[in-house]
Amino acid sequence: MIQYNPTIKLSKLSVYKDGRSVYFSEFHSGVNIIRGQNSSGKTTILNFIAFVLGSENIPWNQEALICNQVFAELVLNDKLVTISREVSEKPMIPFRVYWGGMDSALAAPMTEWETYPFKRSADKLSFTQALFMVLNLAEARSDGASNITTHQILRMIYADQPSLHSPIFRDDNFDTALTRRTVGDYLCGFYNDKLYLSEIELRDLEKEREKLGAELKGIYTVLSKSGQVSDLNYLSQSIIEAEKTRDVTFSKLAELKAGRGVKNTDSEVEGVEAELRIKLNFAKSEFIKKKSKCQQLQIDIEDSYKFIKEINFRLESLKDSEVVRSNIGRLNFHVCPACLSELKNTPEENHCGLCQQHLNSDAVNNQLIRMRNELSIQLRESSNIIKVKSDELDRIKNEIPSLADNLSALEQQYYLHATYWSSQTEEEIEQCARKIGELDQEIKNLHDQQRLASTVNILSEKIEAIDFRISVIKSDITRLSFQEDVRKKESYALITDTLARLLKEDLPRQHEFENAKEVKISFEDNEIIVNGAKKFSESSTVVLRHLFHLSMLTASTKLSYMRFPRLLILDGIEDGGMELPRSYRLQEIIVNETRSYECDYQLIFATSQISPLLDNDELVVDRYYSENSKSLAIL
Amino acid sequence: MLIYHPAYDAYHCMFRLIFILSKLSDVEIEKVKIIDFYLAFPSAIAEADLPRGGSKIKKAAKLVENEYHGPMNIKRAFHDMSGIQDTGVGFLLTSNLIDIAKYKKGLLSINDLDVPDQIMDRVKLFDKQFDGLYCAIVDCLSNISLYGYKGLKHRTGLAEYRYDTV
Repeated sequence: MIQYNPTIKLSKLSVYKDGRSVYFSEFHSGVNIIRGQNSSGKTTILNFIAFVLGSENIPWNQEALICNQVFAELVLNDKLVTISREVSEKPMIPFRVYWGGMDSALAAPMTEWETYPFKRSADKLSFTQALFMVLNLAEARSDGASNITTHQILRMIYADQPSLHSPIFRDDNFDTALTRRTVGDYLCGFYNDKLYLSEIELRDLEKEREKLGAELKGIYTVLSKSGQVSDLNYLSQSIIEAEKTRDVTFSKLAELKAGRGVKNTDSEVEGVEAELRIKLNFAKSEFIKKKSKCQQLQIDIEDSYKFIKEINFRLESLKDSEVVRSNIGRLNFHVCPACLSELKNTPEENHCGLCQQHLNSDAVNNQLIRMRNELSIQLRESSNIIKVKSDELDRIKNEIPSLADNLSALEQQYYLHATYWSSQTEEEIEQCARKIGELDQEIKNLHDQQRLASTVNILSEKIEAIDFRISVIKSDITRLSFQEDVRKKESYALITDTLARLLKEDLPRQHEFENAKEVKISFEDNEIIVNGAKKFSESSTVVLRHLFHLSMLTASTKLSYMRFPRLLILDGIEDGGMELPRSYRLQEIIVNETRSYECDYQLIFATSQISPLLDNDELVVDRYYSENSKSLAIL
Repeated sequence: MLIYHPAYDAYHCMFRLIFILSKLSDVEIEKVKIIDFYLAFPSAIAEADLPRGGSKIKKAAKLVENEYHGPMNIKRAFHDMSGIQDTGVGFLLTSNLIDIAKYKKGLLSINDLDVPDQIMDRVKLFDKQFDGLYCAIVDCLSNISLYGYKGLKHRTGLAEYRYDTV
């Protein structure tokens, strides 16, 4: 049997009150008929099914409300999942999910179940999201960021009695035409998430493009008014030149400060000063080198101590490990760790008590000895390293005081000499410094202009990129819309043709049905129009409604891209004061139609008058309910 | 380069499990794994969200901290230890040192009389190490329930807690 995805089937349903099962039944693929007298609890069962799948606003009756929990075992595509929900009139009750069949689910502790909330939130998946993931369904959005939930989907799957006059959807509070249209489009398989996202992206991009265009226009206006140049190349060139001049001036200044740029009259003084300078520089660098070597050694020694600490810790741990190893090995093994069954064989000497293999005790001991040795070697080496470095550290520490003395002596000498200052040098230094300041300011101005010019460039590039993306998205949208159109026409035609065909099989009662030629369906308006008419008698309305749902099911078994999960739940087959023969006929139309299906599906309906042709074990579920034997065994 | 580390030694793991179960009984397996992780890497407790009184343990753990001990990455280390912890538990089961019926229900509990004396002597030494730091860790974590919001899994960040049915 082919299976189109998604397919949802109910395989077991169970209702508990005070820890006791008051209802249990198994369901099969294909048609499932629930039968019983009026008020014997048929609708209650259908309500439980819809509730556990995610429907809200269920009009519970007294008997249902005193029950505590519903459990349902579902087959989602080909996976078995068990869902549980607490029975309550409160809205948005969370769902408990067990990823497996009902038998293991009921035996498993609560901690093996997962709890999913009704609503989605930033850090938790909602029940709908989890279910969609298992069914491999894409998420769907309608405008205003409200999402399609299982509750919405069930509005088309479950035709309940209170919504008798609503041909397509189960009644709901806060219902909008947009939601109805989106659900309808989604289930028919032609809501395309990618198309929706592309349309949103296009809208955002066009907004962005407009904003950037205005920004660019503004900048051009400012530039032209201020007479500034916006040529990047020219600006870069000017900056380079200004920086070159500045560098030259700076080196002149440095030279002046070093005392070499000015003509010196006393060459003897200059010679002594130069010598002092050289000695001073050397002493400074020696001092700094020794100090940093000191620090480095201290860090290394500290680190080695930490390493040794860790090695010792591991040697101790090895002792603990050895004690366990030698003691446990002597115990007898009672139980297999994999399957927990008792071990009966007594092992031979030198053989493993568990796997019976010959023990090479030498290998184990060798490994331990090797590890112990390795750790000891590391320990010895690290201790040596510490010793060597400590000695070096002490040596260097000894040298430092004398270096410091030498350095400060030289500094004093140099200071005395340096007070021999030339005023000519002072003047030239001042001039250079001023020139450098001017050049710095000019360079800053040029950089500002450069920034503006590059902003213009960046904006232009951005606009170009956006224009390109916009054209790509527009062609995507055209392509996807076309594909959507094709599917729309195909599925719509199939559903309406099937409905027209099925209406003709009804007993000759409603004129428009007998000659059904033109059938129009609107999800948005929640209307079905046959041969131009939308108002019919009560009983004909019921027939029309159920045959519409049947047509959806038929179409979903023929078109693999439809997201209708090949599941239908119908209540009130005989409502609206329908004649008995007409109700029988309706049931027979349903069963005959499903006989032609070539893929996996499930159709559950409830009736108080089952057609005699259909009252056989293959189709019915559980027993016939009556006033003394209701569906829920409460007492 | 050191080749032996007690966190990845199944026998040392058994030793730590015996230590933990000598103080606690009927504990969930996952809880024991988490406590064992912090015995192997006490410095990691600084990252956990502990209830009142937890700051003392964090300070004590900081004193013991050593870069050469690890872990390099807390979540990675916990994940790597899982297999070794399973082996350790399996070994305790097969030696009949822990109760099998309780294990089947997901709880660990030691069969007191069967643990060899040599091991219990070492356990006593372990108890006194680092001024009773290990003891304090076991005490503090055992009082936090495992599941749900602000449960042990949430506070330590070592396992998924959001879909717990509590």
